[in-house]
Amino acid sequence: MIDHKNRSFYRRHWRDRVFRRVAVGCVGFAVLALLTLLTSIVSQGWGAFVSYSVEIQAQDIPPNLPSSDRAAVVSIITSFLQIPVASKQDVIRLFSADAGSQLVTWLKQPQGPLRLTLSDDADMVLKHSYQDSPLKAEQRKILNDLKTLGVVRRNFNFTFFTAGDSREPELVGIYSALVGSLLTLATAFVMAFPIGVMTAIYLTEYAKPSAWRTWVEININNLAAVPSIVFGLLGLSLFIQFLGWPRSTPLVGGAVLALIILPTLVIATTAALKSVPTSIRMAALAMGASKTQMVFHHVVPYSIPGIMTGSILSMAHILGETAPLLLIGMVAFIVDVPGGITEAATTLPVQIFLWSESPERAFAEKTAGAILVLLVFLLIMNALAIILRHRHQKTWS
Amino acid sequence: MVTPFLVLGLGLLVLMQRLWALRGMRKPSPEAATLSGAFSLDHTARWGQVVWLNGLVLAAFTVLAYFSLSWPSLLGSWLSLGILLVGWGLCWRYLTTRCHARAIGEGMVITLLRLSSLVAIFTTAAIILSLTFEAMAFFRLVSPWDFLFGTHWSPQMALRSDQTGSSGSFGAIPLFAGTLMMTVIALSLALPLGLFSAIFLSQYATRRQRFWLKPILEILSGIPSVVYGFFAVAVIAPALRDFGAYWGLTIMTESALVAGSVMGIMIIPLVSSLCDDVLSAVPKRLKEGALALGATSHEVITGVMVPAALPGIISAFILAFSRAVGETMIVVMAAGIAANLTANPLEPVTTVTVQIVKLLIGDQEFDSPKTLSAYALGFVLFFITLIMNVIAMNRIKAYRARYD
Repeated sequence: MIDHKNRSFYRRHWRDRVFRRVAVGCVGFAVLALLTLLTSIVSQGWGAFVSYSVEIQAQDIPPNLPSSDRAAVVSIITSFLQIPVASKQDVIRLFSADAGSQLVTWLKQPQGPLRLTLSDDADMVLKHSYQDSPLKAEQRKILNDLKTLGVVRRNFNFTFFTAGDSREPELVGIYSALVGSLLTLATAFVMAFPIGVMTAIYLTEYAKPSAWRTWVEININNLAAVPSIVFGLLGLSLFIQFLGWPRSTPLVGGAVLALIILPTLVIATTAALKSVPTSIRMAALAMGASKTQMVFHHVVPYSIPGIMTGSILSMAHILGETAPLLLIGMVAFIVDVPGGITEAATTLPVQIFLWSESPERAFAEKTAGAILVLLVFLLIMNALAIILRHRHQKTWS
Repeated sequence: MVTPFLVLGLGLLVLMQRLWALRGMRKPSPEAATLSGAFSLDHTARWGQVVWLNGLVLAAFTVLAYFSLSWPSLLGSWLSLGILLVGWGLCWRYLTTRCHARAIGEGMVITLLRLSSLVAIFTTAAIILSLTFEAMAFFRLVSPWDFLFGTHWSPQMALRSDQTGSSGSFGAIPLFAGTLMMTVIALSLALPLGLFSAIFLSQYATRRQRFWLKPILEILSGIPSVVYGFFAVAVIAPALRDFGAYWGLTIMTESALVAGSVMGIMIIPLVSSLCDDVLSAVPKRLKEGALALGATSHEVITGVMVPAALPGIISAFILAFSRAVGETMIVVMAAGIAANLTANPLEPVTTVTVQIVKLLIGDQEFDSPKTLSAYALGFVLFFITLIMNVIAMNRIKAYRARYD
């Protein structure tokens, strides 16, 4: 016979085990979600770093080429494969829009084999062998022939890291978006860092507990939780409409992002300053230092690692910021590398957004590739912050 | 041509002279130790300056007047004279042994710091002012009643401003309903998962598990929302569509469920880290007391820890709500554009943030109702999140005060 108390004991512990498993399951779900996200992006994005091209040796190129560069490409391929010219369009559509100029450059300086980049459709067929590819059967046959003759080469896609945006997926690159991101982040940092650090110093070291300080602190805490799109609206009406700053530029983008990270910077710096023990302050004052000397010669130098960690983390946060930049017009089609902060530019996350809107399958691959680059940058910044934190962590005893 | 160089040179001379004088005053001579000595040093220093600077002024003005044949250079010479006189006056005023340079310096530093702390307040004020002005401009064209309670949203794309029917209709109820649905879907995923993750991390996890799990959740919260948007479009939407097709349901790729659930995944780390902080702040004695009475850890958590931390947990939930309402990129990429008043989560809906982006993307004129309506939506969004944030912050503050 089981006594009543004992049964309730088992039930209670059974509940405990179930509860614990539910909690483990919830953490497991979060970890699983992260893994799914990362694996799906890697599996979709690896192709962006690989491109296919056709390499033809100099002796295989016929001497009399047509004057039009596209026709010349067609005649090179057809004479190489020794097939009759069925349809010029079929052959030329296998190659990128850049192939003609690649041939012209090569003809000026014929060194090594001639390299012709394949078009995105051919590229996708070689990578994934889709059944519903837009390539025709004849085009697939030509591609297969080229492959069996061993002239299709797989290269690292340098274009992806050296070019700007393009209408053709095989010619796009993230370089100009990266430069735009860099300019925007630099502008935001230059604007936000001094103001954020000075505000934090004022709030922790100088301001006495008063209604004014509470008011400033409430403002900062609230700004940290305001949706970033509201800052985009502010940037549009204040910087562009009211102050007349040039639209779509890193100047405006940087200013908006500076306002977004300002509260985060203030909160991080405040935490860093507060971690410096009072005895340091007392000692400095006892040695006859003025308050400003105490703060700037002792407290601030000790909290620099904390401030650096905080600012790197907030930079990582705005590196991925997209929505406010859409509102201030940084969604332009940018081919060239922006030369300064007053030229139209786009940033990496906005470029990702733009490519994700394109219907071509090859653009999905480039989107995932750009996301991978963005994630690598974020990882580097976070790792840097963690290393800084660990290396300069001071234990005050 | 010559004037700027002259002004610059003379300014530098004045500066050097000032520095020289200060340098001399840092080390007072022995007789300066007495009061009368100090007075005499003060006296001679001042009069030395007057002579020195007067000579400079006269020389400078003679030279400049010689060169000033045209208006701009005449202006320049007057300007340089003015600068010299101001510099001379400042030297006269401050270069005394009774000058409290340190106090002045401290005062300047404090003023600078105080000014920079004003930027935060200016930002809030600028947000409120700009949103209010533009929203007022909108409400002059469209009545607030129609905006807040109208059920038809179609801000028509007028190609020319004189085109008929260019006004469109601005009933924002479908947008509010869509935002609410999206938020409810996201929160019904994020709140339990986040809370239970926090319970696991703060109560059950060993030190080693915490060491690995914390950074994983931080990575999850550090991933930009545009990446989650792509994840929703490229992975979750097709997967849910296939899943629905298997059970005979038609789940559209732009359905609220897709964007809402991905948004929920994004908010999990926010909820879990806030709840983790709150649960860790509950005094250990409460937990240990309950354990000592023979409670299982489940009973300790549900009976002691969570009730003790409840105000903090609720404010974490409110912050999660305000985050979900303001989230933009996921819904812009994965949710619909057309305003659709429905209660079915498998159908596409649109949200306030999607409409703001769609209305303002690309070039536009600043005075059309279409553009201004985005500000009215932003106004509503800002005030909802403002109220939420203030409530949450006050509750967290009260909670902290309870256990400090």
